Amino acid sequence: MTELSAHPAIETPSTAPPASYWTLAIRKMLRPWLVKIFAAYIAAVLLISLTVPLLASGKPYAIDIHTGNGWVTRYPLFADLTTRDYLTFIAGAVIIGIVVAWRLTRVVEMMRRRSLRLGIAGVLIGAGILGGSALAILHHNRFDGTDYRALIKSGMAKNAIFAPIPWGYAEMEPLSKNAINELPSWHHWLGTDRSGRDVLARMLWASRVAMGIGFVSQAIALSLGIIVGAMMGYFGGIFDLLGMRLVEMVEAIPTFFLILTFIAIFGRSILMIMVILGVTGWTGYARFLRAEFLRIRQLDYIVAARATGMPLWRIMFRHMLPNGLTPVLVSASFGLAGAVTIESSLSYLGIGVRPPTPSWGGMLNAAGNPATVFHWFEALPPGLALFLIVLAFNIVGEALRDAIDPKSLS
Amino acid sequence: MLSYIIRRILLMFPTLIGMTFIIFAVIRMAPGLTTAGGSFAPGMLGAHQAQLAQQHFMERRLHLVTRNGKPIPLVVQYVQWINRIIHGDLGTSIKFSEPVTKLVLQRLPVTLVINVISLIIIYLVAVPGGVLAAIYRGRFVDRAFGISSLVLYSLPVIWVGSMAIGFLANPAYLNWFPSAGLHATNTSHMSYFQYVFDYAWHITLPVICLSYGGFAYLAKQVRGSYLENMFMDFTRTAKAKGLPPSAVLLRHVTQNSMLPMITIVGMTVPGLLGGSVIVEKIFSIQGMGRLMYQATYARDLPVIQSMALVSAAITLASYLLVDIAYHAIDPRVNYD
Amino acid sequence: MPETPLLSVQNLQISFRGEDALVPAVDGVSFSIYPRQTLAIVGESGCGKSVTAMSILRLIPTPPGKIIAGEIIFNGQDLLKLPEKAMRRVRGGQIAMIFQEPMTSLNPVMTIGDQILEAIFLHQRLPARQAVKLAAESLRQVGIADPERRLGEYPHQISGGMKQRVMIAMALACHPQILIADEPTTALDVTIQAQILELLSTLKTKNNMSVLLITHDLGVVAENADVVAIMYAGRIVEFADVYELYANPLHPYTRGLLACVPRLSQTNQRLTTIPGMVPNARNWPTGCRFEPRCTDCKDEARTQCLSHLPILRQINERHWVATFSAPGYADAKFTLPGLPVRRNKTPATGRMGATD
Repeated sequence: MTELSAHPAIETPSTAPPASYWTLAIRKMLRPWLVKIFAAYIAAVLLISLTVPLLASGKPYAIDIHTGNGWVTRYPLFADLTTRDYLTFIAGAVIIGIVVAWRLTRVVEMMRRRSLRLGIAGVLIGAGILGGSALAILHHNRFDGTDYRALIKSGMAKNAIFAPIPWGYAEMEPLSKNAINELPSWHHWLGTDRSGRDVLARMLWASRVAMGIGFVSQAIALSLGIIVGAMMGYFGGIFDLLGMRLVEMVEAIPTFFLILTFIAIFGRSILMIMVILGVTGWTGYARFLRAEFLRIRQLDYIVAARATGMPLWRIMFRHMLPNGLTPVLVSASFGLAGAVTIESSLSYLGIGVRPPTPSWGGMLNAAGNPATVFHWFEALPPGLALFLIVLAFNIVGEALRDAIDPKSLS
Repeated sequence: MLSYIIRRILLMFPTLIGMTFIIFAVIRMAPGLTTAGGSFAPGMLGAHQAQLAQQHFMERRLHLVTRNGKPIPLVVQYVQWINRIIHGDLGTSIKFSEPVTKLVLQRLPVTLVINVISLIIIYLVAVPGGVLAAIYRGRFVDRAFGISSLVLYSLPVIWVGSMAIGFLANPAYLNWFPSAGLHATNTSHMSYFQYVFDYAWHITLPVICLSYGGFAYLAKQVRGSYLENMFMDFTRTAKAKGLPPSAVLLRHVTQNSMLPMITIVGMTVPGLLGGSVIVEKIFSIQGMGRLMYQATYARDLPVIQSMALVSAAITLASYLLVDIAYHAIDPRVNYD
Repeated sequence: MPETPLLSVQNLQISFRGEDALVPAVDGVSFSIYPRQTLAIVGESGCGKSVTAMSILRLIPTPPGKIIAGEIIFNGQDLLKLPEKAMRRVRGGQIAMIFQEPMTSLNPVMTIGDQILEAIFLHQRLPARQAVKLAAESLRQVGIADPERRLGEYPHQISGGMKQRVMIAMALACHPQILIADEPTTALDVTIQAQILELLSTLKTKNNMSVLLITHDLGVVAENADVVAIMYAGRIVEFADVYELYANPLHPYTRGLLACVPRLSQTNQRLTTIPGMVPNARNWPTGCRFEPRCTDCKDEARTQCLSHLPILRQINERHWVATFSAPGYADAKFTLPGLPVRRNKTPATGRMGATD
């Protein structure tokens, strides 16, 4: 019987400040190796989608061109970057900045940490939005139609440094080469599609569409859902009644039908698809946050806080929102998976992102009519990429949900 | 019970009316519909089709929005629209030049049959799976079922569907299944059994595509509610009576877990209807989903608004059925 | 002729799987119950008394719980070695149990009648009509008016005290030899507590059964028990018949508990408390588990308390105790605790048919 009590829990005093709730949850979530792999996969796809203009392009980073004044070094890839590419970089810088700040503020003591982190995140996001809008106004896309490969061949250019994938997403092999629907080769690592475009380059570019639409639409949906849900849970009464009726009405129309309705009416630019997925996807978050608020309202510590005379709005922002938000944010992981799936389905049906902008769904559709001439090697990469990213979001979401669940069984 | 059902149906009406408001408002937002002389820009059509659509559209617009050259007030428009719906007139399709009511009645049964079969298959797989996972929680069966259903849930239908046709219904590989439609081209010579077999053969792949993604959610819910009830005090009481574990599980735990399972039927319906857009497009089935897709592609607004309305009505009806079933089973809810 | 115990528990050890190690819950518990006797097990929450009670019917959820060692002898057979099927005949049939939470212990979606009938059909071969009669009779026995109507009602339609009565009726429908009552009144209002306890003692006499009463309330014990076992940190620290225990408490923990019971005669005194806290089961002291809170062990005696765990020893024929400070402890020997005594007080004639 003594051997049972031979494992006393040894509590070593630690000098590091206690980890925050989220840090603990994320650490617990990442414990299984499978989750680790998929979380790393999401990070990798996100990184690719943010840097893809530099990864896959038909324009060289640098090239020496023979002009009337002799050899001149040009930087066509950088000169060719569009406003959207720059916006992507800004978004990437903001995300990386927030992650770095998060890690750096670990050593700050508990009380100040949250406000410091929120402050840094707010400043970074604000700066990003400001910089982005300035760029959107001031920057003009310049179209560069030069075929640098032809220039090199003709001897008019040399010393070209190409991107790792030296093809643009819309760049076609010349018709004379008849390089359509090619199998993978050293030249085109994943082969070419029916227009003679490099499949790998399109795959990478499509990740930007998928991740962009996924994250932006869920950000919109989350904001809407949090606002409506918090109002319903906070004010209750008539707000709650009307809000829930609205949620019920929106949910009664199958999401896909609703999205198709909006697309038929408002069109289908990338921005519009983001907005439509956001506007149709908020109900779950609102319902969830409302339920959390109603639950938390009943909890003893909120009642205790009210008993001390703290105003309700302060209780809501300091105590209720942080606690109620956690499960909502976790469910956003499933929302992301759903948004990526819907985007690809729309593109597959030909009512999503417009060609030539690549999307995994559109590429799947471009693999041919499966009943007759089906190029399965073209359908494999986009399908697999789609499957893996959706699986990754779902697995990480499940793991996060288990990690924050205080009574996770099994 | 009857009074409850009647009251519940009456309660449905405010939601339905609110829904007609939303649909009406959204459809009226279509660019060019309400501004005088606005043009309709069908983004996805060929030139000839676009011209036709424009022509239809202008006629419809003139008919709907103006009378004798004067715009009709929105309220009147709305009342007229509702009045037509009550009389069973959902408008005329631009693309098909047919009454929408007729189109919907043609296509609805096709979709309903496939969806009901899929729903049954989802329950047949997910409920036993979830129960087994709950019994063997944390063990191999649980993990394997959890992970495989999550993998299935994450598999995109567009990929599975086109791969399934590409390999299983393609003369170049395995030509086991038909790739499109619900029947062979000529069914007149078939006996009843041949006909049913032919139908089953045609819907196999679509039903698989529609159902495999639904296992994960339901199974997880079943597992959760079984686990919850397996550790409830009343389960302990049942064991203390001397009931064998199988009876505890089948009687006490199952009875208490039925309620969430029934609720999920209602929640699954909108998802299945939405999913049928993709599946019916991939397998060329002339159902509601495909009609919705065709209407979106052609910006066939009369069809679109009717589809939104009809699908919402179907969803509300399934919620109603679920509610009634719930009340019939749970003794704790009273009907008054 | 000396009576033989009806149920005896010997050196029972139960552990629960924690986050990273096995956490002991019950650590070498022994006691026995004689026929027609009420044995009360008293202790603070977490001392292992409920786990002990549940283990008798083998109702401990495994995993995480596990019975490591010990014997539970009932009618000459070891319940822990019994095959599952035979065990099911014991459960409900020979040993029945009622629980702390009557609110949740009844299945909310089954009628009361169905739940009682389920127990009856499991253990007795009866035609349906007779079974219904028996069910109604058992409801009447626990003081429920109009039992025929109650049989068709659902648990949410009756009050908490009524639910506990239904639980008792269900437990007694098959005439068990032992009724284990796991804090049967903790969740109830004080006025209803008294009624339920009175009902239990009436039924005990009427049905010739033994009761194992698990409680943390020494007041309840004084009123109802014949023999008392005090548990602390997974072990029985004192075992005596109820008069002996109240007259001559030997373990410092028992004395502390008794001092904590408020008395009307001491109106101007503050309530006494035992200083310190119950040690965590993950981290029990190597020596006596009560040592950190003990007032008795001082000076030279302390070395022994710190290094040795005192086992339960019989120091006179009506008293077992596990503390070095008890007079005569050093010469005493371990014997299986158990006293075939019954209080000869006639059960108070209660108000049957209470209207709670």
